[in-house]
Amino acid sequence: MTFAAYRGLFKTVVKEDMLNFFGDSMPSAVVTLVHCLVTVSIYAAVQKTLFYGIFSWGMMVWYLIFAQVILSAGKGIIKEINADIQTGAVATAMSKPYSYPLSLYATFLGSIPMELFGTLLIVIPFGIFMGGAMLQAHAILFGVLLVFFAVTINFLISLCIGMIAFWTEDADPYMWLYSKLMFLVGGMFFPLDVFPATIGVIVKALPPAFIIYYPAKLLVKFSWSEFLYVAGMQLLYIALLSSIAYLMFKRATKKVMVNGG
Amino acid sequence: MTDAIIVEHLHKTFKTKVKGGGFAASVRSLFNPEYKTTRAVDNISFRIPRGQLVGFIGPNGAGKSTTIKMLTGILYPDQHANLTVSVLGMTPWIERKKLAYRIGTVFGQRSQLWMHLPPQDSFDLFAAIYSIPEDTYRKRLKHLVETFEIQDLLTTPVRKLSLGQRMRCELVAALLHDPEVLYLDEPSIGLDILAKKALRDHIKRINAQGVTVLLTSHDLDDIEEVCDRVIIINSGHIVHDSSFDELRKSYLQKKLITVHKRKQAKRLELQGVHIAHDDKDVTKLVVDTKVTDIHTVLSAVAAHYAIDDIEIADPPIEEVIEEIYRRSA
Repeated sequence: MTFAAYRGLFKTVVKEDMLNFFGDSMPSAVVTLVHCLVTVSIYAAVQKTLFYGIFSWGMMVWYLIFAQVILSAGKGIIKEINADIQTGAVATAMSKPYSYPLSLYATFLGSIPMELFGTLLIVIPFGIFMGGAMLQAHAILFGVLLVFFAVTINFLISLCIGMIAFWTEDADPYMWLYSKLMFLVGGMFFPLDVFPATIGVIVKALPPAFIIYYPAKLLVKFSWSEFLYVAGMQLLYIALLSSIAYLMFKRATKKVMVNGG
Repeated sequence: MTDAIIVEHLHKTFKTKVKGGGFAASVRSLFNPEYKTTRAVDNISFRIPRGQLVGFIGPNGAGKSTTIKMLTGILYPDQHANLTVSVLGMTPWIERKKLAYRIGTVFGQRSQLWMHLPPQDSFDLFAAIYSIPEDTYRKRLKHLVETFEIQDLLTTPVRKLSLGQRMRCELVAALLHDPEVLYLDEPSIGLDILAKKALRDHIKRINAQGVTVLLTSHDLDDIEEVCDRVIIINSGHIVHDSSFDELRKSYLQKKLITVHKRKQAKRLELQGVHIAHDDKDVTKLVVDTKVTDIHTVLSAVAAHYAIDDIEIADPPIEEVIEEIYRRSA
């Protein structure tokens, strides 16, 4: 088992996505744009002044765009694990000399570049048109690191939920719950500053906040102290969730039941 | 000769949730779920020496694939006091990743190739996965591409290949890392006669290079053509283990001949030949080769009918198993 195996998987997914760029990545980018359009339009029509004092209008537009972009990264992973288990494809993956969870992570990361490229291609002009060109280079540079940690946390939670399928054979209902949680306490449609102080403290300490709210906020409103706090917390969650995923997989391998021959 | 595979007292049971039809049953199942235990593999033992080509056959649901998946380390067997499983000296489910470098697998119903990409890209990926040095990989791929005649397929997306073409690419993918043991799980499923023939030739060629092959199939013809030895499994038990010649002598004294005719003919009267079906286009004959040998029957058939096409087959595996049970009872 070497790093080359995972790099190979990453490259293969990118190659496949390049072939399917107009049939797969671009339609997905259009869906993200529609989401951005809907949320930004709602704020423009109803609540344009709600977050004044925290965000300017331009910041708000870019916050909502980044929230959608982060959430759209590699969203098919649970479906993949579910399908692998239900169709028996897990057998093919597990007959190879690599770690199945790490192979999924490589596949997950590989699915991001082309999708991200397609999404940015159409949401950046939209963001400039609606919010103005107000992004700072250093915020983007360091924010990208937070986004990388954020998608990794999202992957690990999704992996743990996906692995429930080893016991229940279907993890879709759990994924549905998770997506609603992201909707409510992740900061997908509104920054978490909207919550009252007591609830806000709890909500801002949960993993969803470190997937959407903080990275999106720091991309538009960067501060060193908050960057260090968020990066530290993200690494803590990555360590915790990796341990949970490792233990789950160790137990799950004994539960593998290959359907259909 | 050392054994590549040793299996002693292997068991595997699956627990599956059962539910009757209808809404009420669904509600009952929610609060009081019922489970059914299936013994997929029930105390089987066998040894396969290095370099042997063994047919592992049985009807659907017999336990063939479950056994293979335990031998690759994908499935954990039930723990049992006398359980011993060793593949190339390793316990599969404990040393799964280490073992994976030394075994190859082809699952006929699940492709390991990337469907939207040409096979070349999948081969490059497998070279990375199995840490094959670049130089060795290039040489080995060239050799395999020539052996399996896939030069023209390397740049075609896998989804556009025929099943036979895809299977040749699957074999190349499974052999890239030079495995010592190759598991072929129903590789001929869905293939036409020509593709099956080509596949059997390739399997023989792989085995001639010293690779131990365990081939599962529910098609006796696959096994007859290529295997030194045949293990028959049914309902999780091994019901027969011998060379194919012994199996033939003991249980395969019948042949099924299907004649597609150009014109109607009188019934063929020949000792040891029973007409199972006869209409103006097709006649199906069951031949007892103990009474009349197949060459005599074929000569008689050729002389008697205006033949458009003719097929000769062994009886289906289910009939052979039935016969094995009947005699042992």
